[in-house]
Amino acid sequence: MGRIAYVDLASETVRIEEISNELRRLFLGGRGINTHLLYQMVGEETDPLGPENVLVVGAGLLTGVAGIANSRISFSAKSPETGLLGDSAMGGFFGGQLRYAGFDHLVIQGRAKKPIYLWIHDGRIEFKDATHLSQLDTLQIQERIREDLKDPKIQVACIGPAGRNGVRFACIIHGLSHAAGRTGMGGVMGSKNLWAIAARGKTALPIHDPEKLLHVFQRHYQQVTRTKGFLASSIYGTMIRLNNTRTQGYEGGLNHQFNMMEYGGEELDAEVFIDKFETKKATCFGCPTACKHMFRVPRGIYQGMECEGPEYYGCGGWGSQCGCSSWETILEAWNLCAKYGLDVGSMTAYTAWVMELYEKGIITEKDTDGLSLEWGSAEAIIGLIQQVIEKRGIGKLLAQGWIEAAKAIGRNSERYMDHVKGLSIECDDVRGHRAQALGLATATRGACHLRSRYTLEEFFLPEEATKKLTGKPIPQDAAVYDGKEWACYWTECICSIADALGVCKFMTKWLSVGLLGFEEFIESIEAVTGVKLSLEEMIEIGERIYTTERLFLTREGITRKDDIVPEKFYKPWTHGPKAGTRIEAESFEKLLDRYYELHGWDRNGIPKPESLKKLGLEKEPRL
Amino acid sequence: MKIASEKCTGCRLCESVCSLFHDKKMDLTFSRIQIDPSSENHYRVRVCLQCEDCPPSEVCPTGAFQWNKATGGVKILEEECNLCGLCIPECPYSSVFEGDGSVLVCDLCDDRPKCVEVCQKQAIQFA
Amino acid sequence: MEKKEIQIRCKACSSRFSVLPFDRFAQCPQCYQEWKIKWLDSESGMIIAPVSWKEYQLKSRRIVPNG
Repeated sequence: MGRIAYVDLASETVRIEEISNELRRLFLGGRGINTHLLYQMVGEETDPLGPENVLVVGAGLLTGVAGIANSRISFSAKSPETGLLGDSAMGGFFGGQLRYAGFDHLVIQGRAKKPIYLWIHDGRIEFKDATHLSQLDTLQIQERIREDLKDPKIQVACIGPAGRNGVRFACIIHGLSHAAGRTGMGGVMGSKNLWAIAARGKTALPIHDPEKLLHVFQRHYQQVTRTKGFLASSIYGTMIRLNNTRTQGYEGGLNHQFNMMEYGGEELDAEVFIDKFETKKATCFGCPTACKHMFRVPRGIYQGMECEGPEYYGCGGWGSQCGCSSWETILEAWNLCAKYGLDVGSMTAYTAWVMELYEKGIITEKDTDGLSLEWGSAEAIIGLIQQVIEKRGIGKLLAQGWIEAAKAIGRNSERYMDHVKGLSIECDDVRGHRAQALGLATATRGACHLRSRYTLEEFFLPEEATKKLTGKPIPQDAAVYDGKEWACYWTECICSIADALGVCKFMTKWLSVGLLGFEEFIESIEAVTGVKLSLEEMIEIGERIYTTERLFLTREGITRKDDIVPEKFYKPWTHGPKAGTRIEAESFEKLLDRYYELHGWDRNGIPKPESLKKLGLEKEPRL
Repeated sequence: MKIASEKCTGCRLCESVCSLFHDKKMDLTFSRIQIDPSSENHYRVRVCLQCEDCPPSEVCPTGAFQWNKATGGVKILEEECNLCGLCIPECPYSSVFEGDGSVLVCDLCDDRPKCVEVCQKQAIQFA
Repeated sequence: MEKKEIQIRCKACSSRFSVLPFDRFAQCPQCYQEWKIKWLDSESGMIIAPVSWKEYQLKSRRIVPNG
């Protein structure tokens, strides 16, 4: 059920394939089917910015269907930033429209001869000239396409100047700031001369049992809106994490040199933002939370600037990580990244990186076109974004991705970037949360908080609760290593499934115990497809998706030596109520061993043949 | 029905439940409540407000467009409707819609409107 | 009418303690850290910040980083 369109941009042709029930049964949809297709179609020799790279766009099995937060759509390709698996997802309204227009997945190959955008509607895909969009930012592009095609309900996912100019960590933007952010999927679109995908559909999605779906939907609505923590999500959104990392002492400070800031910092409380800047809440398709903030800057040099955001990644990333305590600066930087189509995760990490390089004298104003990179400098934070877009000063190097930039700078500059497998770590410091540290080291797209991070580790849940939730008890204390391999594994499963279904993880048990979990997913899948999966079958699908991603990495030469936390995690936290906490190497290695065993991988992190056979993956192309 | 469009976040849970309940399918185009974007994250809600003075019901030549005394709302009797479409432009709130071989208007789900139950921001309310 | 006590968890030492609904400040009886509390409703109290950020950050510094 559902359709994949193989789109060849060079010849402007489309080949359509029905998605077999078997493929759905093995991978469900979304990130699951994306991973399966991508693994078959690219290899070690594929240049991420070459025409042979493949961009797979995949709406979830439930995306666009009546239910809670069925909004997500995944974009996968070989990453131009890391050279490994690239995969990111966005919410908003684009995914649903793609499905209503008649397509669940797009496999985009080749390179268009000139800039184009895809116009997808009524079961057809048209190739439209995009050259008139060449000076526009992401918001203007979307408005222009709606005007040109005369329909205000068209939903667009597009790249901005960053993607068009070949920045390797460019992202894909939809709406004001919904983003398929990490791993440079916008760079892949740019390299293909594909500037936007516009979708608008009026076709009903097939539902096996609409009455059952209605009841399931109504029940899930009551369940999530009455969950403890729903209210906090609907007021603070991801700024809950801003609050937690600051009060519990695990924020990243000055490029992860510290785990807490000493600048005073009342200004950076979420309360201040909500009070001074927030105007309205915004949401994605099917979600009652409305976790997103709309804001307006009331005075100062950015007076009148309005956007949607910021999320925690920007608050911590330009805040404590860059020593900045000005909301206005953070909001302007956020706004620019949304308009230019630049990944906030990488932009903030690169900013903090070069600020430390500047502090240590490894780079000077000569390298930065005269820009001083003092900690906390608004001029530096905004100036660096402009330099990246314009590819001048230090931006010329940063646009190539930090790995190439570090090679060009030399002088051991790479030692100051905290990353896993080439992707920078988030703006928090999880050495004291053992399951989260393990997740960081092993996540299949590099350091990632959305695939393997056991969020619940921060909430001190009693063992009876975690046993009920995951099937096995997980120690209450974040600093304990025992049992944390199971927490990480469970998280990988629930995230893989949520991403394959297109359900936003903010409405799942990944965030809070009372929200949607495997049982609820099983109910929704049954109502939509008629197939009732068991819990074991769900876990197996999650494992299959994750293992396919691991095979992608194995093929690229990734082994145990790359499943590591940043070096500084082995040193103690200097600040905060848990100062003194560090990763103990021996305990971490044993944790990693137990984790590999759970997955059925060998001691080097390579999936064993019998584990692959169990998942039906033994025939996948391999080394 | 009372609407406060400024509170609407565009989640479309109302459109979803309406189309599922009435048409037994997942098709927002034919929902009896329509959420129109006016700009990014700003929406206009269109749904029948059960006006005392109802122009669409007055112009209906067959009497299909009627008041339903039981619910206090309106209802289109499908078997009487001749699809002339004269009612559609008469609604001052543009809340009578062209369906697929039918004319659509909110009938309060014949009892308690389901959209109100899933509107977290209370952009739509029913006394 | 007596107010029902609500349990919250100290962000510094992770121990739980009781507060009354709509109390704006509270001190952890275990580690004595003072917190500001925000109430989303009568049962949902959240610690949003220490009473003094500067004191909290300086006080909690244990180890001077080398060079």
